[in-house]
Amino acid sequence: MKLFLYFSNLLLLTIFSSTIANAGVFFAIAPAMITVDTDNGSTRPLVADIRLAYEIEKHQIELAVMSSVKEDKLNQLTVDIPSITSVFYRYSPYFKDRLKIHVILGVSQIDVDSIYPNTADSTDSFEGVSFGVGVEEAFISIPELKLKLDWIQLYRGDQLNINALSLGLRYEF
Amino acid sequence: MSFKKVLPIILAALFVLLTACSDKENEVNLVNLHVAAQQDIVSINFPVDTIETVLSINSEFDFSLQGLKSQTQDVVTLSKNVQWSLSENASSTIDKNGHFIASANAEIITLSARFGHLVESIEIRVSSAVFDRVVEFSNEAFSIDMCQSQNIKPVGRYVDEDGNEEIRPVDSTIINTIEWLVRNQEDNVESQRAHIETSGNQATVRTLSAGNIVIQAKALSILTGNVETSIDFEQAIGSDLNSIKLCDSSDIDLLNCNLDTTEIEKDKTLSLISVGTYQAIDGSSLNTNISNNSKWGIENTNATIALSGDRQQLNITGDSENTSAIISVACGDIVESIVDNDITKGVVLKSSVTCDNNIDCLEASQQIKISPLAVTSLKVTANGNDLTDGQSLTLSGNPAEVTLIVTAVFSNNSSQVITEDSNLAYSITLGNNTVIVEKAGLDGVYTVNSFGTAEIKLDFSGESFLAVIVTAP
Repeated sequence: MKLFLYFSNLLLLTIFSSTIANAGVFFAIAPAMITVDTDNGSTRPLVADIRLAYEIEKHQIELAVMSSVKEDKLNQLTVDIPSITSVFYRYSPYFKDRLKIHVILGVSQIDVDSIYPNTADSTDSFEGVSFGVGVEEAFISIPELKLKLDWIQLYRGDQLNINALSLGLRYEF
Repeated sequence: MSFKKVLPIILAALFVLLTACSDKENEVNLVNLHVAAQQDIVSINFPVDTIETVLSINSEFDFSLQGLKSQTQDVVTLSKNVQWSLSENASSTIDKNGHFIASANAEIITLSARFGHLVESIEIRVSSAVFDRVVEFSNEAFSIDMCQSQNIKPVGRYVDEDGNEEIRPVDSTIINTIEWLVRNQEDNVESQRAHIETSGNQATVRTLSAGNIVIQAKALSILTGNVETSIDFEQAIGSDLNSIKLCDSSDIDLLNCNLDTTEIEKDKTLSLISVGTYQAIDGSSLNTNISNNSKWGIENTNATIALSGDRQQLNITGDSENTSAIISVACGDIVESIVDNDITKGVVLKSSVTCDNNIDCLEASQQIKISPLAVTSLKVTANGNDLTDGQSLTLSGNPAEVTLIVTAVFSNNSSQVITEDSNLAYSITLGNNTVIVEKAGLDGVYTVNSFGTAEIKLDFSGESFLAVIVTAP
């Protein structure tokens, strides 16, 4: 968690200290489907994805907090995601276009709850590097409001990958 | 603070994390749960009726694992994602498929099977006791009716270096070496009522007719170095077969199946099975495919019959078109004589099979018609030019004659020119006598009278073709 506190402080510092033109603060909200993917099956619980970001020209730093909306089942296995906390750096090479493409790099901590018959309930926590791509397009009538789609591999392991696919809205203050 | 100054620090930190952060050890629990959940398995166990816990040195055994499905409560054999392991310091080995090879020395080891998060273990003793002889025909109560197949696990006597005796199912090193002798109980002659064959470390009894038999097992004794013959094992073969019928090989519902297809084209194959209905002990009926233990016959040479490789169906190939052949099947003693080779490979005779006095024997038969090969299409040329059905072809240059060549394409993809076949009907449907006129005595040849369009309809074995020809200067 120290890592996230560090990045969170960094985000706040940059927000309040910057005087550069073309800088802005974003708030985003989206439902996200988390895929817990193994060689022998996958589960796809849903989470609410809330993000706060600071942008300067081509660069953004973003704090994401996600929490459970709906668990998923694979036969008798119930998988839920109580929380995901991430800090992402987003790079957009075409930052002045209405349609932006982002390359995403960051770190995430994902907690996964699992319930299975005849087995003690368990919570597993995964921390690791995250990467992905995102696209967003501003509405013509409300340019501050953008429709965004992100695909991020939150965790990449030997036998287990955790991905997030979110579709939602970003608002630029 | 300038963001641009902070950015390199962020990137450097992320780069370090790229190589440092992951929780691979935490993955095991979630991965294992998904393995079990994928197949809906909530508990596992070794199948008690087939597992061996005492094995001879240097012998082999295929272990298997069963799982209990949560929703259906079915017990299924697990073939994927089972991790087999032996206790540390074991000299014996086991591979990923559960194939166990016992060590050359006696040892006691723990065998474990892991499926997802579920683990089951069993103690295995590798024994140095050596095989002497077969002492029991089967390790469990055995009963069988005629025309059935049933696996057996013979029991052997093993003796160790201290003279201690072990009575246990014979292992893989021995079972394949056993020669089985089967005689009729009443006259002591070699019996055609049953046959015991061994394949893949599994002995199987196949019965062909009812009666009492005596079985002996002959095998080389590792203890004495001599070939030892077991005592006589008396066995009755029951006759609780209520009926026999023929069905299509594709039938799954053996209770209600019938032979729906009774006609085949020449050179084509029809597959059928014999289904026996047995009386179970509880009074219910049991329908089963008894093709491999039935006696098959055919009345003539209009078709050829043979059992499939796995002997689970009879294949009939039509040889002479516009003929028929009666296929007969019987379970029990038949009038026709059979040789021992027929017993081992499956009884298929080149004559009809008929029950002997209808005592403990049931039979069924069906006439199979053999029709000519079906015609799938006609190909036609006019003066050497390919025609398309219903599409006009212009023959320019003021042709004096139009000559059609007709080829039939058959269902086995073969083809044959049928221009002069008596079954091919030609009829001019347009331009008769004005554009073309049929040339007497020559099938498919027409004299051109004038320029214009002529249509000739061709009919052969249910296939039609409309040749549209335009004659032009």
